[in-house]
Amino acid sequence: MIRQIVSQKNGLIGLFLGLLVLVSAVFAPLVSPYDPYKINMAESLSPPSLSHPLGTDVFGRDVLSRMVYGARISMEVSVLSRLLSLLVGTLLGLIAGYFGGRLDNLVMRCADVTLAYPGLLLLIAVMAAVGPSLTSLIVALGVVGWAGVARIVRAQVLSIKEREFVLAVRSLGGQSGRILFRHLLPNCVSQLIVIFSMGLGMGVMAESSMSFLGLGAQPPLPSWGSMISAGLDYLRVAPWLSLAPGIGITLAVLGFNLLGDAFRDALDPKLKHLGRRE
Amino acid sequence: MFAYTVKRLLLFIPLLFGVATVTFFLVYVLPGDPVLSMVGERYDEETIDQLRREMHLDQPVYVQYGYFIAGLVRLDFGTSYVTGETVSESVLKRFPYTFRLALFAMLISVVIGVSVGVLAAWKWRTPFDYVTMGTTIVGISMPVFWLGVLLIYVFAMKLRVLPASGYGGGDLRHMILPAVTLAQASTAYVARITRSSMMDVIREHYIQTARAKGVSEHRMLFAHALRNALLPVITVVGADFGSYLSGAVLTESIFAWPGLGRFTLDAILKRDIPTIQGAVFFMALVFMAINLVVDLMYAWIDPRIKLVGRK
Repeated sequence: MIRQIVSQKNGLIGLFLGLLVLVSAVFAPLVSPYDPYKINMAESLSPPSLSHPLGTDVFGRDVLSRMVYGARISMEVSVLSRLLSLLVGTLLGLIAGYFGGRLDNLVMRCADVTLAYPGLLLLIAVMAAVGPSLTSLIVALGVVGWAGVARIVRAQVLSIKEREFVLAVRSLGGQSGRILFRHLLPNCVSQLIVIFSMGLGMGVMAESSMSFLGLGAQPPLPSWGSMISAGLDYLRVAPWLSLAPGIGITLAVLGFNLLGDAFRDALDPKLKHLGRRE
Repeated sequence: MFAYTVKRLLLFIPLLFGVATVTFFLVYVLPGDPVLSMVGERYDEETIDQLRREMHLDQPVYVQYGYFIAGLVRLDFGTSYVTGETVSESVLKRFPYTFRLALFAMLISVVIGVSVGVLAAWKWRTPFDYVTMGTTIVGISMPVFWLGVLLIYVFAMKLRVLPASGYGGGDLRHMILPAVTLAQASTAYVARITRSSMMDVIREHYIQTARAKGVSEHRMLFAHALRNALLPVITVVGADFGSYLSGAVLTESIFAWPGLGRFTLDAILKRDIPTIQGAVFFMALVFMAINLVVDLMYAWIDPRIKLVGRK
């Protein structure tokens, strides 16, 4: 599978960009040239130079270092929220698909309601309700994202639950729990990998959007979105403040999109129209 | 078709009810006392008690919920705590601005997206195809709000050819930057869908038949292939139009566009509960209605859909 991903040019670019973001996130203290929180008023708003490749912000903090730490926040929010969506969505999708009937109806109507809200609206409303912080953003994003996962898992379960191997387990007296987690779940793994990798880009985008609106990471945390909005006041004199973090977001999202496409083509081409919305 | 329409319409009602319920409880758990934020510093106990009674805030939650649903049925979302205007009035006042912007953005995305997609499919595996498809995937990955900032920087601050923000009393020039920003992701996506759909259609037998008959390449592309390739494009365009109409929160905030999206964000930041409830519900309603229309249109254009039924 890895060979299949690397053999495509797009997959390779995606892998490279994705790893770049991941490495910056994980090794932020080692990679970043300066302390992202260190205030140095003497160097306030200095333009990009050799010592500060992306310049400094109004407090003299190094923009490149803040971007490296921003990758950490983005990845944290994106990975954790996607895992939460996967957990909730998979569980409910398995249950809905396997048991069918009223339970299925209830779960899927809840999914319909979740998906009936346009784009970021539900997320904005949830964030306003629970108050802006990174933890609540992770939970909110995770909860809002369950419906799409549940739909796909349910569809997969419906397509395999009448297959011989499942019927065989059942006729041998296999318990529902055993069928669900030992037999149906493993058959959803390739879908789950695709959903997860495609969702990472959406997660990064959602985190930066919410932080841009002031509903995500709070200062002085260096989130890409909040860096862009903080730079708006100095757009005329110090455009790098807002422009640099945007390039970071674009590359990260691009990387995960390409990677997600490559995973999808390798694992499950049927999921072609996934990855829209937001 | 009639049975299908009725079925879809009937399914719409419980969905609407669900959305209303979720919206109510989301806003209900908002922190802070709405009455205190309304009266501000100068208040006396009597005024507060009276306001609480007027807004039914002294009642248990299920009674408040009942009032909310009863209000919805009459299209009455209550009165804003901040401006004192009725919510439905202010929502309807903002909607035309959002509508104009969404329409303009959709126009851009359909015209540019479809033409680029058709050309890319036709010039398959040429530099044009590679460059446009590369551009579109970057376009999809670019955050809307950052593109907006970039456009403001280049066109309003450096080149000084377009205004940076505001409605400008309906001046078209004020609409260009926000509309381009809003249209960006959709244009890129429409171009990609059009291309892949065209490529599928071009392989079909009836296209080969047309070619064998000696139909010109141009006519083959536009008269034979495009018509059939547009089906999946309609879904994308419809869904995007629905979400633009329901208020482009990010774009409207950056460009200080007086539409629904910015209005709702303001209400959320001010904890103006009736306005949040009304606006969020209205936006979800518009979004759902457009999606319903798109589904019905799709079934009407492609009769196979009805037979498959619900997935």
